[in-house]
Amino acid sequence: MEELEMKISQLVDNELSDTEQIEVFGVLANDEKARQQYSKLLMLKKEVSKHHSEVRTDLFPIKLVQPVQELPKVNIYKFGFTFSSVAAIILIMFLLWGQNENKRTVEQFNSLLEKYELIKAEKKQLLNKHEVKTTVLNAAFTKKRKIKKAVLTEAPISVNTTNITTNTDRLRKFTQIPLANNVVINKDDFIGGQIVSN
Amino acid sequence: MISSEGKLFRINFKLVSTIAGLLFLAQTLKAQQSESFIAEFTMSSNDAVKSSKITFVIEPNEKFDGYFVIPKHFNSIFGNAGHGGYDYLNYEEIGSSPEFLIPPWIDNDSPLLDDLEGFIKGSDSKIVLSFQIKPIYSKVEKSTKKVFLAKFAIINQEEKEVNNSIEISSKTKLYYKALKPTQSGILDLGFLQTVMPEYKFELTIKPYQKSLQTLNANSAIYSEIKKSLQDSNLDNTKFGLSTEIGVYPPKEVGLFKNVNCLKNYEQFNFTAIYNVASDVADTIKLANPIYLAELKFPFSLYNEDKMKQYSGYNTQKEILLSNYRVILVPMSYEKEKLTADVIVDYSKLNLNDGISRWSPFKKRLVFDHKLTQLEMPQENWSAVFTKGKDKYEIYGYSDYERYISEILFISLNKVYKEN
Repeated sequence: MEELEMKISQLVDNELSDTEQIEVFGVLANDEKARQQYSKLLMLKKEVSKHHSEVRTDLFPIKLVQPVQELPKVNIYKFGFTFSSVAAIILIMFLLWGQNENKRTVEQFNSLLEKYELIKAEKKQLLNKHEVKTTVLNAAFTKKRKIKKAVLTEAPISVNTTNITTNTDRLRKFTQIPLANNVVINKDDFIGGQIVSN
Repeated sequence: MISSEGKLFRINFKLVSTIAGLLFLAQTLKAQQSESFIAEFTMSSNDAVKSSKITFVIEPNEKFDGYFVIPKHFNSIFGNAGHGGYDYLNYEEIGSSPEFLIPPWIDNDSPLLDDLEGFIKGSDSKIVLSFQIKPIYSKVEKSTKKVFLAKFAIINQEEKEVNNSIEISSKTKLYYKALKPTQSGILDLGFLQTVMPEYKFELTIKPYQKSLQTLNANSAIYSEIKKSLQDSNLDNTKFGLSTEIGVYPPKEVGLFKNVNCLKNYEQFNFTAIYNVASDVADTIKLANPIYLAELKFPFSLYNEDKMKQYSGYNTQKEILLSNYRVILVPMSYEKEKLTADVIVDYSKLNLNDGISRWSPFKKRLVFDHKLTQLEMPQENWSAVFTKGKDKYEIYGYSDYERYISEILFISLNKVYKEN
């Protein structure tokens, strides 16, 4: 009996040769007690295997092996890098924006310059086309002002006799220019009435 | 592993700090570049009989171009703010006067001043002083220290009659200067006075802020401005204004020996005002500006005996000083016509004794790009007083008014500017 138990045990542990296994299976087929024994041993082996599968054999726990504490460190640098990159992009955008603004000013200046040149060219064309009289009437403001002054100051006074001969044409020209708008102050124009005497 | 992470951290830190530094620098530069200045440049004759003042707002990254002209046949001074020299480019001489060219501006290598162009053509200027002034910031000194790079060109013409023909010679002198303002904004132009000893020059350039441009007015003027503003519906400010006050002979022309003795003072460009403050602590803030020109000049009596007597007085420079304020409140500007209320507040003498002698007035006018001349009222005023040891007895009509007509000129100029 002990020999049979031994054989069954060896069968469970898969330690028997093919011929021995056939022999043992033949005995198990005819012996119910032997089959029960076989079944018990199988159950036992299963439980032992299960038990061993749960036993840990590592020297250090997993927590120590894995760089759990270093993970946040890596995250700080990643975060820092991302943050500074974003900041750099934003700052560069500010810089570019500033440059664009200067560019816009330059563009505006250039367009104004072009406009000025166009107006100048247009004026030159006009002056070339017109007759002398028209040219006088269209003369620049400063010239008109000078003419006006000349009417007021030069014409009635013979100060410098040498200039008169050379200026005859100029004086004639001056007198052809119509006087500018004349305004006279009336009594009603005084703020709070005119001060009579003091 | 640890050392490489530290390196990464240091690189990141350097990167961020460098960019922050760059940004700060850019902002400082931008703030400097966006600074505006208000310039006042005056050229007057040594005897203070003729004077011209140009006021000009130097916008960020812009220059102040302008010129003064002394005509050949009378001694007035005309000032103008504009690019280049006196623009004779489109000028045509008519009649028998000779037409000739003066050498063009000498091109310069300065990158700041390379765009000064233009040449002078014509025959009716004795002296032309052209200038260009540009603000920069000193790199050597403190970054906020302003320096104004300036170019001056003086063109002198001399006319001689040789063998029945007219010989004209002209000389051009060029000056490049780096001008540093004092704390009150004054720039020293001593070199100009050395070159042109018969004239005086004053140049001030100060930081300009629209919101700080304030006109202080007495309650009567303040109330009139307020009334005018109620009628104002101005939505276009593309115009420029200039003014001058001149003294001209009325009927008694023979009383004057020389026309060049007659006073003439002008201001090219009015100052735009955005605040009006009254003497009773009331203020108005304006979205669209009103305009101010202030002409200050010595007062001269045409009663020659009295003038001789007062010329020896120590206080005469302080007392004989006129101040004319021309305030213009625009109503509308349409089809190149400006409707505006002109308020003139003036005093012929600097007395400050609380006595009203000269009546301020207001007149609504329409300007149409022509010169408008306004005859100043003749007033019957007197000032009899003693200042220190000096005894004054001035009667407005008999000592001054009957000899002259005072004419105030206001002109409207077209301005081309971008929105």
